[in-house]
Amino acid sequence: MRGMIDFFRIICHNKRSLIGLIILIIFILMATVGPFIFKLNMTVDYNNRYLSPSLEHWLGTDFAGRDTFIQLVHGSKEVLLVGLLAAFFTLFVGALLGTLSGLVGGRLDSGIMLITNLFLTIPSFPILIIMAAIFSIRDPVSFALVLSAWSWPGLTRAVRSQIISLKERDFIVICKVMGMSKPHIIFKELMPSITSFLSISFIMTMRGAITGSVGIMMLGLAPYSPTNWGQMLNLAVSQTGGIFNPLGFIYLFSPILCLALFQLGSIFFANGIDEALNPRLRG
Amino acid sequence: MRFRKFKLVLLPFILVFTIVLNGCTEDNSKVFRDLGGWPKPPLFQGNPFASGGVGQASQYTFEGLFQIVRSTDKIYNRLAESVEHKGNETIIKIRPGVTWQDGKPFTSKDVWSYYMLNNGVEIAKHLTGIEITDDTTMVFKWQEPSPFTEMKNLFLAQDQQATIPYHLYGKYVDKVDELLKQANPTNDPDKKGPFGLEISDKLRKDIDKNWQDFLKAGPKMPVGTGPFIVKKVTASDMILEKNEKYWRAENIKFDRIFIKNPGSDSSGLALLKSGKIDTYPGTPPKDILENMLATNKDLVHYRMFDPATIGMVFNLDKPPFDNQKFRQAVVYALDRTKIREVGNYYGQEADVSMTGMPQSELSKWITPDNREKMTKFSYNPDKAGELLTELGWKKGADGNWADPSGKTPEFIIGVSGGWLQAVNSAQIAAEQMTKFGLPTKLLAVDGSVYYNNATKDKGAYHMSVDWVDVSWGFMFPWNSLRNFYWGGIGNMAHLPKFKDGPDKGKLNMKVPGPDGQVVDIEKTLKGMPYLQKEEERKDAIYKLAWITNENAYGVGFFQNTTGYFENVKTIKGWPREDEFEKYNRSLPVPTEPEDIDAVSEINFGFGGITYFVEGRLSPRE
Repeated sequence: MRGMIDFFRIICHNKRSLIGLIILIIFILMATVGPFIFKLNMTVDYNNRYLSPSLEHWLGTDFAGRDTFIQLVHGSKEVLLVGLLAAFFTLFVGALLGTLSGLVGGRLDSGIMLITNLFLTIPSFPILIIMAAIFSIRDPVSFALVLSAWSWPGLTRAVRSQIISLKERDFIVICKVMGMSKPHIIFKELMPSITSFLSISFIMTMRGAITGSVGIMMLGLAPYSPTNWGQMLNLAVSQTGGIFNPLGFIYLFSPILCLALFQLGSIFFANGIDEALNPRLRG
Repeated sequence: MRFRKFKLVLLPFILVFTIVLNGCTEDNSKVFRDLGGWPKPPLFQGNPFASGGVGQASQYTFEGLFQIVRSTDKIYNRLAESVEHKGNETIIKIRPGVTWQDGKPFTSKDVWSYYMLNNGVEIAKHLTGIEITDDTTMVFKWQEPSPFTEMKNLFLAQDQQATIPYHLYGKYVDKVDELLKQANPTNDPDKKGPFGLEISDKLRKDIDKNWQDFLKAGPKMPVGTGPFIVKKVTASDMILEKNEKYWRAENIKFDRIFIKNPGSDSSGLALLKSGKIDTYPGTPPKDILENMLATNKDLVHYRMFDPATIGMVFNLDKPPFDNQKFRQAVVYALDRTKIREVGNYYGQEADVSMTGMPQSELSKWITPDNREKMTKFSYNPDKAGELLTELGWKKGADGNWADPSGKTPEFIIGVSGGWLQAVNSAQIAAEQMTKFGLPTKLLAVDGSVYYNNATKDKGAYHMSVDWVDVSWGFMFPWNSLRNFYWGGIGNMAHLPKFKDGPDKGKLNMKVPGPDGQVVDIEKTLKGMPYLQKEEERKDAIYKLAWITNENAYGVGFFQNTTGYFENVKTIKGWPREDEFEKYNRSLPVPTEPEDIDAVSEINFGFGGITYFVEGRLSPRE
């Protein structure tokens, strides 16, 4: 409990991380509460396309006369859930295998690295096409699993390198000499040193998953969703012509702004996490 | 230090030199600037049949005995001087003095070469052989029964016969001739191969191997008889120069064709907007089109009917889509106006489900009286509800329909993911079905697996999106009807077929027609090209169109309206010039027959480079 209070105290004292936290809370509310407040209506209303922002339509309407803001709200649920889950799975597998590989070494290291390299060298696209022919994704968890299937190996290698570098440092050697347990060394000594790296990786993986989800959709692995932010961006470029149609600028930039803000919030928040968890930055 | 100084002097010099050189190559006098794709060097080669062909250069370089305008069935004589049908023979005289671009004369033997080597073409199934009378005369000998005269002309006009010069590919032509001589004629329609011959498996293998060898052969640059010769090919540009020895050189008003490969639609539109190209195919969404015309006042956009309808077919192997009334209910539940507005604003909605022929063709082949007898499927959700209720379906408190067993099924629409126009249309259809109470999801599937998914076993989707009422090649409705019943679309619909016996693989569809009489669809389709009287043909077309509509095997969202942007500042000779102002340079689909012809022919995809060959186009001085 005290740890949690300390953690949030550090976060709140750091302006950047506070801004990040606020942005993330807004997005989380948008994804969880938003859909209950704003009802989605995807009926085409061609005569009211590209309306300017107003009280009725906060971000105007799209190429088919549908409310842009409400699409963003409903899209955020799927985008954040899939992104978060994919990043979580990636981080869990990558950090676990990377830590084990780097810390234990020997045959286990060789075995894990063999599998990791295998996954790194197998091109994902043909495999995803084959998967699309066999089954289709019906829920966010399997969607996230598919997205993370090709993102954990890179993280595993990176974490392994970090651990190999750290375990030779004096403070770890002292821990070993003092006879401290492996879990203590891992969770109390090593992990805090790589938390900032992991949190940045988490954010980057999440961003990759959000954009990657569009690719998965367009392969037919997951149902097509026009409210997915990435898909909205695709539609904005193809249907409004992007730069060829000034009327569509708000529709084009809305998902870009959401993605950018979400990433900015995550990065700012990670900055605070780093300060809260990295022993080298703590006073 | 000295080297750095040298570089400082050299770099601006190189820059100026490059600009000057660019200016020289971008000489815009008597130049037509097109865009398109082609295999990038070093893959580019001169054999039009090899992988990727010669891309956009094809229509400028190669031609056939005739030029058919795909959307109107108008046929121009090109290398053929005359055609004479005498009973079971068609005598074709080719123009004297025509030469290949390498200077060799074009003769009857070259046409014969085309058909020998490329014996998979449709006409070969209807011929017993091609006889060379002399260098400029040949006789096409038809099998018994032979198609009606207009059909013969369409078969002949479909091909681009001046693409396999004997002097370049003789080795492969002679080889296939030898192989075909080993085959025996047969009267068994199921065993009939090209020229009425029975091709054994061993022979087929040898013929295929010879074809594969031919694909690897060929010159570095295309050698055709067409008005332009390919001179330079890079990954981004192609330069063609006028063929001074062209048989109609006096009509060709351009010295050069510059073709750009933009790589994407957006880049192509940017080139058009900045006036870097003279032509651009297609009709973009309304707002983009209007913006293009507003920002570049030199552009005119012509809209024209595409003989193709975007729609979806129902999978008859997946209940409840095996039920005619259920299928009809789905068609009634769709508001096709809203689908069209998003899919193709300028498209044409139909009041039928689908007919096996483009909507714009119905009036040509079906009398107003018969048209009245065809069920109208305009948007009518109440009617859709009635039909479902008749079938024992019930609407629940959640607004969803439950089948007679009490289950609410969830349906899947499949679409090729790369085809955005269809994805958008299908998405609206899925939304509408869900709103109506039939929960439906869309799967936008990668094109490489989509067709296989839709057709294999019982099919992966309840509904599959494709071009439905579509006529590739020529407009006579037999073409689009067979495309549905015998082609890929029919496979997506999982139309009933014989699983074994002598008719294995053929349609097992004996369906009541408009007069209540049973119509054997397979037999009717098979016989259509041999019906000599137009009345008989119209009757058969009407029966099949009526059956297709009544059974609602699918639903056409809208007939596509395609189009062309043309630059009127740099090029003159485009049609309907007197109407530019009236329509603010955005010309609607023409209604007058001569306008329909004129506008269709500016579309390279419909009528090739007719405007060049007929001498209608020229650069503005």
